[in-house]
Amino acid sequence: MLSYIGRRIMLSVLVIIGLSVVTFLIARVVPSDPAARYAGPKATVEQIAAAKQELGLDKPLPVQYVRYMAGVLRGDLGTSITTHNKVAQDIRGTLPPSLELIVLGMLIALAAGIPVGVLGAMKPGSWIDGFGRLAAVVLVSFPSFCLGFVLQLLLYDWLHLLPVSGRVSNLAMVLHPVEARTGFYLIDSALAGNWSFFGDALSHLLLPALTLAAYPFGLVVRMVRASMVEVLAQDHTRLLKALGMKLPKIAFRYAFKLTLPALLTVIALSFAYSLTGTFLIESVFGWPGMGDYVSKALITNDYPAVMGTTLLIGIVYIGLNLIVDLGIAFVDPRVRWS
Amino acid sequence: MGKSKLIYYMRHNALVTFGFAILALLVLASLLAPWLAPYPQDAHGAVHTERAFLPPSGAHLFGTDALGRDLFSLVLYGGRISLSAGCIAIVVSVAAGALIGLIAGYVGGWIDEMLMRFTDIVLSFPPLLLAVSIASLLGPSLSHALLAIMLSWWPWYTRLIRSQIVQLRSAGYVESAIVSGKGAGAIMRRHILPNSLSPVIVQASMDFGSIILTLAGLSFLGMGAQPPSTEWGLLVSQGKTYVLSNWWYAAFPGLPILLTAVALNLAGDGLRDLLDPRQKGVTR
Repeated sequence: MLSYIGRRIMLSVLVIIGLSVVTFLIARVVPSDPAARYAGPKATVEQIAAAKQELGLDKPLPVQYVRYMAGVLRGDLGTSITTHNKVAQDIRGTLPPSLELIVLGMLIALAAGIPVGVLGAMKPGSWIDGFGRLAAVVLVSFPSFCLGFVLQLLLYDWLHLLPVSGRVSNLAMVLHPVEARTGFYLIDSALAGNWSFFGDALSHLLLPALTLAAYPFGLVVRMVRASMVEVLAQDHTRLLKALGMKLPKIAFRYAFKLTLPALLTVIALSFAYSLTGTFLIESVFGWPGMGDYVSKALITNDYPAVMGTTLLIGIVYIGLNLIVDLGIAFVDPRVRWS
Repeated sequence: MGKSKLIYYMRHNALVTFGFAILALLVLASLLAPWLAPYPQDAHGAVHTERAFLPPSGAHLFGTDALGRDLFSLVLYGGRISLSAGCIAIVVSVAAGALIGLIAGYVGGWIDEMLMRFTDIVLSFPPLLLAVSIASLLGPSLSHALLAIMLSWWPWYTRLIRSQIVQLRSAGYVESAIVSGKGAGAIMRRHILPNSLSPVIVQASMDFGSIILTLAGLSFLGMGAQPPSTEWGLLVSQGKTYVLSNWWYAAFPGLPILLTAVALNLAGDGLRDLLDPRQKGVTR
């Protein structure tokens, strides 16, 4: 087990170094001149040269890479060319909205997907199984941005149930302001006991979160159903059935544990999808998160911002894969023996 | 796999047949776009501002866009771009991935180790991020979006093919071919490749849908096809500001994206049951 963990961690570190080199190279070979943009449109040749020195662009590439990585290890991702803020500070502002969206989306997908998958596997061919499989195929195939529009038309324009875009309404911002402690509106307002702000933020969060949950929901239903069908056909579960135990008890109490490796894999897949899937959804709902930040940075050739965000998302993605692989090895001993 | 078996199977599985039918319809409609499109000049730069934002009607089945172009014609022509781009991406990814997997699996040793670790590194790169990086490096365009997609999809096939080959190498008929003195190339062509192809075909048919979705998403974000292209994702993105006032503008270009992805998913399920019975029902 220890050697397995060691190998996986080594590989992850290697991958992160590879990722940092790639993002660094890509960001540094951007065709337009970042120093000229940093110095501003009316800068003289001397000012541009000074900006070049300030940004460290006059040094050879390997030196620039080492300096950048030394900064990264200290939590310094450089200075954004457009906002002139520290990139780390910009990311700290845009990360909570994105995470709030991703976490709620995942919770919705799991809470809805697991029961549908398990019930479908308990009675293959029943109406709930048919419904689950059809919903899974359609939701996995739905372009997320189109689904966003459909939900906006349905729940905002037609039923007037939920707000159409943004993170919180101006009215709530003015009447019941909440002190930003973590940057997560739901947590901040709950800590302050400010429930009207909480409700307003939650209602704004629901539409994008539902949209983001669609694809993971489909994945969860498919995977849970497939592995549950397999487990229920095995001798040990058939024995429980022969002994007279009720099917729901067998499924949820005994068989479910054996579907955990598959479930962990699907959670990792879904999370990985959501990390970048949120880019599209933030664009549809005007959500001020990381996706929004990166798209703006891309348009303005703001390379420190693109680099910092890419590196951060990549590290989270790799770390997540590592955690899931170790989790699977933990619940399924066969993996760590092979 | 005989043709008659496929027909027998389709007759007994309505959903799979439905998938293949939708797919055939979409491909046919795109191929016949010059004959089917009522306003073919609209897909080639014609602008009629006096007919902007007309709702769907007999004259304009899908309505018109902000420039007064007939959306039905645009969507038909867009299919040629979206579907052929998807085809190119999947074919190149499969070919490149299979070649590398073949080398890794057959040669083995340190070459195998090196290739597979490299594959692991590429696999842990989120596809959309790679596209973002490439768009910022080379500028946004359809071909750069395709490049990003191909760069992030090939490793899946490398893994798949390699695991197949490692299994097949110790199969009786391969070992006897080696013993009888056949060359490595002949063994790969005659014995290994044909037997490891089925799972690849199944995987590719499923991935085709994801690739179509990713491509549309990239165009939607402005990192793929650029105007005046009529690529589906780009059309949706042009309609996005009018969703609440002119729903048809974003809806009708979005519909074929959804249909293609659903059809490919259903068809892929069917192909898997047919070609790879061991996997039957695994992801359904």
